[in-house]
Amino acid sequence: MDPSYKVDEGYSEDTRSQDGLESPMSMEPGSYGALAPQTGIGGVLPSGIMALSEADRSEVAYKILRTLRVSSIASVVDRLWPCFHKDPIQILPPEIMSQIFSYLTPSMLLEASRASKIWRERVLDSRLWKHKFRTEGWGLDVEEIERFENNYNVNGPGSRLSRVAQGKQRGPVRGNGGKPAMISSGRSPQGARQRHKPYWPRPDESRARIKREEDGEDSRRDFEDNRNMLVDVQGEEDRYLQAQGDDQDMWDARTLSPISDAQSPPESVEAWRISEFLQAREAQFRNERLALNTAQSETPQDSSDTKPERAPSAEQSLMLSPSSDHPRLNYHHVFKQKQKLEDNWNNGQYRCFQLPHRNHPEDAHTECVYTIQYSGKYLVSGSRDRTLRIWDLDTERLVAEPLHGHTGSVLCLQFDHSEEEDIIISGSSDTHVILWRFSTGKMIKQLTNAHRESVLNLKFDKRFLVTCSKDKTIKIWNRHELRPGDRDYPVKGISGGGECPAYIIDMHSIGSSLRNEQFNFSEMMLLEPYTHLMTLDLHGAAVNAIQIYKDELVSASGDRNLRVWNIHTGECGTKIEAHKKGIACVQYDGKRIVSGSSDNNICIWDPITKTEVARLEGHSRLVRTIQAAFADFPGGRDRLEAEADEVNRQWKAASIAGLIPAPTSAGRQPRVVPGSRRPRDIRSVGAKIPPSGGGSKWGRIVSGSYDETIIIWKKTDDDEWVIGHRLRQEEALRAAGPPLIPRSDLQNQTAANTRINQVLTQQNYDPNQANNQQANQALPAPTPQLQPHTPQVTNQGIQNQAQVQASNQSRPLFGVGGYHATPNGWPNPLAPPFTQQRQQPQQNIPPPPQPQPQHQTLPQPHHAPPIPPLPAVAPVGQPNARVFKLQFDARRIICCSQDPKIVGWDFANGDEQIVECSRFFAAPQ
Amino acid sequence: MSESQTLKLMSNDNVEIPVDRDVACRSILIKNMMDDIGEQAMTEAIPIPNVNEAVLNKVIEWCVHHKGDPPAANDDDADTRKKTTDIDEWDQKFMQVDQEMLFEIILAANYLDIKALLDVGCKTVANMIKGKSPEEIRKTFNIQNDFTPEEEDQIRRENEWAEE
Repeated sequence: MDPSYKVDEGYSEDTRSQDGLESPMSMEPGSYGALAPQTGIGGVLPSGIMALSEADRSEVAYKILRTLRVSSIASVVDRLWPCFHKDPIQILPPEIMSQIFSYLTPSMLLEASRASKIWRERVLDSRLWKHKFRTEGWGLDVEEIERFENNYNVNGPGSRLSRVAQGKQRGPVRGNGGKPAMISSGRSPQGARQRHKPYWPRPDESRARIKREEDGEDSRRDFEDNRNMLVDVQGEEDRYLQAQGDDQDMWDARTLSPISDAQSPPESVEAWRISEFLQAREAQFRNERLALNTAQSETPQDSSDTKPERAPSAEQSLMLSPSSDHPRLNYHHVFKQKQKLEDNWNNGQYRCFQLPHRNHPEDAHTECVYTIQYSGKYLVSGSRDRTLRIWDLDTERLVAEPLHGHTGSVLCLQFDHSEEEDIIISGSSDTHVILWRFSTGKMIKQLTNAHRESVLNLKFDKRFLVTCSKDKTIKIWNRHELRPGDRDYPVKGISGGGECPAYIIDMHSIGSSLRNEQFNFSEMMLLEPYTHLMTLDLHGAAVNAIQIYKDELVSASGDRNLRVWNIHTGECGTKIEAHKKGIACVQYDGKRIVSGSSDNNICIWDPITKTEVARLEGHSRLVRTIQAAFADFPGGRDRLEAEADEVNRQWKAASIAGLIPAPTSAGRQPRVVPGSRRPRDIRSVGAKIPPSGGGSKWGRIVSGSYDETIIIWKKTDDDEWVIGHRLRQEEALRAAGPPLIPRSDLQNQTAANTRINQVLTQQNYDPNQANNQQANQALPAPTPQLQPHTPQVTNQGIQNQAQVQASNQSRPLFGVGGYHATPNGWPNPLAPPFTQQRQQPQQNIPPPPQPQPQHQTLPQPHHAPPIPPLPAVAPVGQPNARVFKLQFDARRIICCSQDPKIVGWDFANGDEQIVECSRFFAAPQ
Repeated sequence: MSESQTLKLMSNDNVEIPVDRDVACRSILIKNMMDDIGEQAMTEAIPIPNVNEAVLNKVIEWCVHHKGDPPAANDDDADTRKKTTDIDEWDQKFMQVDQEMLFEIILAANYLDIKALLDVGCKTVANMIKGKSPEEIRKTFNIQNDFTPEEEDQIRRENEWAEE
């Protein structure tokens, strides 16, 4: 031991009584021997010494020591070492240790966990990691966790059913010499066949299920979910299991003696056997990861087979006390998976996927996809092909036939698949809004001519549906019956408020006599659901995007302004002249507004002071879609304001010191790092949110642009926004497989294209678009299949057609696809083709997309060498990747573009443990 | 009048220590006790059974220095951003004691319910862990390594995810 080391930390006033000294030391290994001789020495000490005061005894001890040689003193000091160095875990109660640990970062904690077994146990404490998870600014899906924990032993992986299956599984596996042969052979064709069989609840079934769930009998759905999840990872699992073959006996450490199969099986024997099999597989796979000590008591006969010393530590298991009545999530495990997932985001580690599934191109939309939303395992998409499609993200298959009903492009949608809502609402260039039953795909209601022009965006909450349109207005509709006097009944007659139709009662102006007859009056004036309540008509151009947050409504318009409205009165309390060009997308979370514009920028706004706090410059074209998650720390607004105040204080100090350059006369602020807190970089002094918009370092903004890229913006340690990664839509499309533009559509579209071509050539269209075409010409030649469809087309015709094909795909640029710029803000306003088509219904081509059977028969890859390229024919189906809409959650980005395929990036990157835990991570916010 | 009032604390080694009332009230335990039993608390020594004289003196020293501090925010999450090492200079010096004293101050702060002192104590211990290798942590706290080399290897692998 280095003596100087001891001197540093070993300063002692020797404050303890002897008793106190003894107790902690008695825990020390006896080898130190500092304590043992004490009584003996005490015996030889002059009795008077012990009667002295502590100070006097210290003096005596010192004097005695001074009589010794230095080496002897050193030896005494060595023996006293344990007095100065005590294990806090032995002294401090667990909750205090937990507080101490809460000040340490995960990596420091894990270093500390290597000190000893008890340290490791304490450091891996689940509650500590739950706390750390929250204080990172990460969200947990509390409801999902509760559901999972409560169902774990009822229906879930720890349930009796799965143990049954497991028990059955055990025989063959063990009988096979511990080799997983049965498992490989058990990868039955049934399982493979099942994989792509879309599961879709029949309406009556889904109704019935609501009841069953209350009885805790939703096990079949769990089967379905598990099956879907599991089959997707089966390949890896097989490899994993084979690689782990020698650890075979660890798998079934938790097996129970078989329980007779008394549970009622799912409807078909086949389905039952598959779920049974998969349950068994999952149980095995899970058990392999479970802490063995939690389960051994159930399997006395097997305990000799287990190898506790090789058992995965508790750290690796998802559940604590999995077999008890109260299994609980192991938050250390959850934290670890979240950290791994975030690392994948930061390092750009992902796997691409696509809808439709590679093997099922017939599921795809037949034209570009303007809008998507996903939630849970479902994604709903809306396309220029006029359909909506509902996808199962696990199987990458459609779960139902496409939803037909719109007569124009589907531009916007929102859905809620919860049982109480069970709804999709979509808006279209046909000016209508349609309500669909999610579970059945049936149209519930159509709001015909909801607007005068294309419905560009819509949002709903429990109370209201809000739509916005190219007709420059926003409309508010009720979702449930309303009577005068109800809280959500529109407030009419406010100066500066929204325009209400005549049937809306102005509660302030009606006579008291009328009000006294409240009952009859209310019934008379009842508003049916989805009655038009109010129109907000202050924007000077198309309203491209809206967002509801509580009682506020934020809108973004081609007139370059953002507006914040009161949803009850329609008053516009805030107008921000936000961008130099039209605004395409907006998001508001109650603390900051984020907008994306055709000036290529993304801006973050403080809605209170109406100031821009950050500008994110990275795209080279219109920013069409955006999602921002600031990952706020717990603690709310106060914290943001405190941070902002500090920034403002430093700015003032710098200003007084003369360190702030005067604003240039042009008013153009110099380009600064967005989010920078350096006083000279501050864009908005006095803002109520810090320069980055605030939030934790895990904040993330994902933006999609007509420059065909998606940017993942992340924060630096200094809270500045930088480009984390730039994803190229086109690359994802290529990775996703061969192009899917249906060959047959080409023929169908020829007539329409010719006509559209006329429209286009009348317009002065975007030169960049022409460049794109030229670039496309350099790309691979058209497929031979092209020719039979276009025999009548002259060379010139082909050229036109090629241009049209490309232009056709890009039409949304000019306003069809749900984004509209102001005529001033956008150089090339085009008459939207669909508007024209509406006016000329006879020519309303392209025809209804019915080509699926043909798709299946068409070979996807080019098998013959291409014939000499026809000049100027754009490669049909070449990815066109202007990004229209994206969404991300904790794990994935999914986005749609000019291509009929929907593509995604999964940052779980195939890691099964991350996938398993992702359900517990709250949606980014 | 409360400015000048003093009360007496009795350590577990039976030493009476006079202390200003507002200083003592840094301890939520004592504050609540006084609220509950009122004036009586002023006359008799309040027994602090878990704390000896030396530690109690240290704690009082801290309370005297911090008696003007604003009351502690009740929000656990308020200071998440400045979690690790932020200890003000005086407190750092104050906490330069032997480990035994340090742990006893923490225990006393916990018992007496003096949150800010408990926080400083815990941060001090956290700083003793921070940045140290497992072996250094063992040295600092005299911990026996009870892992086998195989276990150490396994743990090292399991910990790889959090390497910075």
